[in-house]
Amino acid sequence: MTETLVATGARRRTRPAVIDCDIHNTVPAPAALLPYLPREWHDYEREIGSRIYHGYLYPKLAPNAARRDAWPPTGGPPGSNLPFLREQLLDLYDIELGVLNCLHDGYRQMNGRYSAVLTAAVNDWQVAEWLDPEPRLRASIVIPVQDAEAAAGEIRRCARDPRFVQVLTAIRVHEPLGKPRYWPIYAAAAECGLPFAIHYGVAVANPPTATGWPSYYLEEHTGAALAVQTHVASLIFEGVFQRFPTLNVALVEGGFAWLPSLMWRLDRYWQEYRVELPWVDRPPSEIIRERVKVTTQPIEEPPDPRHFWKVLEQLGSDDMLMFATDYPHWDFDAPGQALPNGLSRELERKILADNARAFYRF
Amino acid sequence: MPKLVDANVHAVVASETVLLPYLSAHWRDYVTSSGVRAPDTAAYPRSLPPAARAEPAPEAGLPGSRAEHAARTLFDNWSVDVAVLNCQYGVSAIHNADLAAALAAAVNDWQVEEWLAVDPRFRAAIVVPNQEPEDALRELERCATRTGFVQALLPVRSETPYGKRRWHRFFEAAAESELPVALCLGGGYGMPTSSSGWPSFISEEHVDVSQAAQSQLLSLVTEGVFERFPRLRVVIVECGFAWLPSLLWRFDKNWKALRNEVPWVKRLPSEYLLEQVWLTTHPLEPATATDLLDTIDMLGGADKLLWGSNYPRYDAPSPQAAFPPGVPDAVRHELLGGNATRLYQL
Repeated sequence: MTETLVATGARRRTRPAVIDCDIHNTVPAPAALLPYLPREWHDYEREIGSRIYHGYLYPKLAPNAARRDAWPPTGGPPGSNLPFLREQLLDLYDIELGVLNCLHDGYRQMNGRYSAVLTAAVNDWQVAEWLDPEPRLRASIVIPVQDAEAAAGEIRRCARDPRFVQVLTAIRVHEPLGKPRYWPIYAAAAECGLPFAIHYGVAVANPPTATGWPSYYLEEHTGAALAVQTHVASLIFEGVFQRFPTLNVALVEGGFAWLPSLMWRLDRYWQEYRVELPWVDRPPSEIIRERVKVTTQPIEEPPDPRHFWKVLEQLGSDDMLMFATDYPHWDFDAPGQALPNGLSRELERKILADNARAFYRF
Repeated sequence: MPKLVDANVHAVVASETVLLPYLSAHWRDYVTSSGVRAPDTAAYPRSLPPAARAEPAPEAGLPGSRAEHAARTLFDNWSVDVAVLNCQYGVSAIHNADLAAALAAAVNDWQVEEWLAVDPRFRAAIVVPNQEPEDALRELERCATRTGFVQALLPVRSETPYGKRRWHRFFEAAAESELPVALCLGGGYGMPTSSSGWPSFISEEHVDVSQAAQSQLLSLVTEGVFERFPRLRVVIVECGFAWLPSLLWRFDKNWKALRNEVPWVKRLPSEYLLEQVWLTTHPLEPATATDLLDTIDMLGGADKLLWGSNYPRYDAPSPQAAFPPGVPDAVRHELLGGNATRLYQL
């Protein structure tokens, strides 16, 4: 279907439908979570509060790494105000559905117990203040990723609400995500029929690269996709896709042009070191095409447009890419502007909406 | 006929005994009495790749540890004209900076005496310690004018990225000596080899090493090393190359938005990288001629790619079999030696 009738003020959408797979709703202040935080933790929040792994400090292009026009006029940080988000994003671009990826610090607390209560509070806050008032939004379950059993419990709790459409972690966790310590998370996600989303995120305990700490945001941000690749390799080689045959994975906000060369690299080493990977029953590139999707933003822009088409061809599947704006960040991709001209209508529809529709079973 | 040049051969230090003759009495005593054994920080598995399994091993020591054996395969069987030695002995793993510097010097003297002197078709990389940049500089200067050394060698993984200011004098000296600086698979001993902790498998480590190479290139650009030293050349050894096009696109796009953070980076990052960086090709990522030629097209040409066999861990039985069928002869000749001949001024 190329056209969808939208009952928003009886306007008829004549452009292709757009599903935005990466919107960042922001907790305006710690106090905003207090109504959702168990009473026995209120003293802790007031006296100790958030303690995240330190080391990651890269001044962004703009405060909060956000577009300068995304600060709500009524106050609060970008992404914290639903009416303003409707105005700047959902209504402006006629977004049919948007997936919220809340990058709150809950997941990266040094205090693991506090991680568990904070992430649960964020999930409840998402339901009450985003999903209930806005039917076009869906959300990701945020989890205390370093405690897989607690995370599994949170997944099962939230999955009862079908408006939670995936499980979310940021990258740069303690260990590569394929490691067995994380498997209870995948068991719960698979059991609940939810994909697992890996999002560009901030440091937890490790330098962002295997060569230490970058000096500049330009350096760190450009290297962000590299960290995603660590996890792809780990999930593949540890056999997560075999162990959990219904689990699918989304890679969010890492770009995608690096994926073909990564697939070649994974295939090559899978062949050479089969003896250490007996459970990986087929080439990694095949597994990726079947089970992994990638959001488009930040979309790569090769100076020679032929190379963009070549990358799409090398991906070997029209079903892998899912459009995302990354609202409200500075490197926001606008629908209708981000994708290059010359895409077939069918491929444009797939990227803008249909691949996400299939992946999230909308 | 362009020379056939193997740009990545590993001279293997079989044991510290090999280096004793090249150490001072003090360090000889220390190494002997402490039994220190530096690792090969590339962490290769025990067995050789299938193509290399028939490689005859020396009577004493490991494959790759004797020049005479290597010469037989490289020069006699393969008709290689020049082979560049990149020794991965784990100098970078030694926390004691003075010991590391002494061992690096011993490795270089060993290479001169027991490799370069054995066959004039060998060239070598100056192994430098990376604990203290000043020690690296000193060893570079000690060896720079000795015949047969064609580049300096650092491991690709490090405690902090090599673009940091403390390394600039080293890169300046390399540029002035007209010696490329090779960043080779290995290093980072004691630090997680991925950006999210320690991987389980060798397969993962070999995937992750491409990220380490990219991180170093990001650093060298953003810290202004390529801008300040336009004659500096860097060689990425055994970390792949097919990742380079997507890195260039992303880096250029981000620089346009974020260039105020690094005002000394005056040009598009891709310009520096395409002018001043070479990369060895093996283990080869693009398995088909189509994928290889498409990657070359995305790079704007094949002129920075160098065939390196990884002897004794070679995965193709000969240079003629190193690239898939369907690669035009002109391209093949560049990869197999034309580019290296120009880079190393052979």
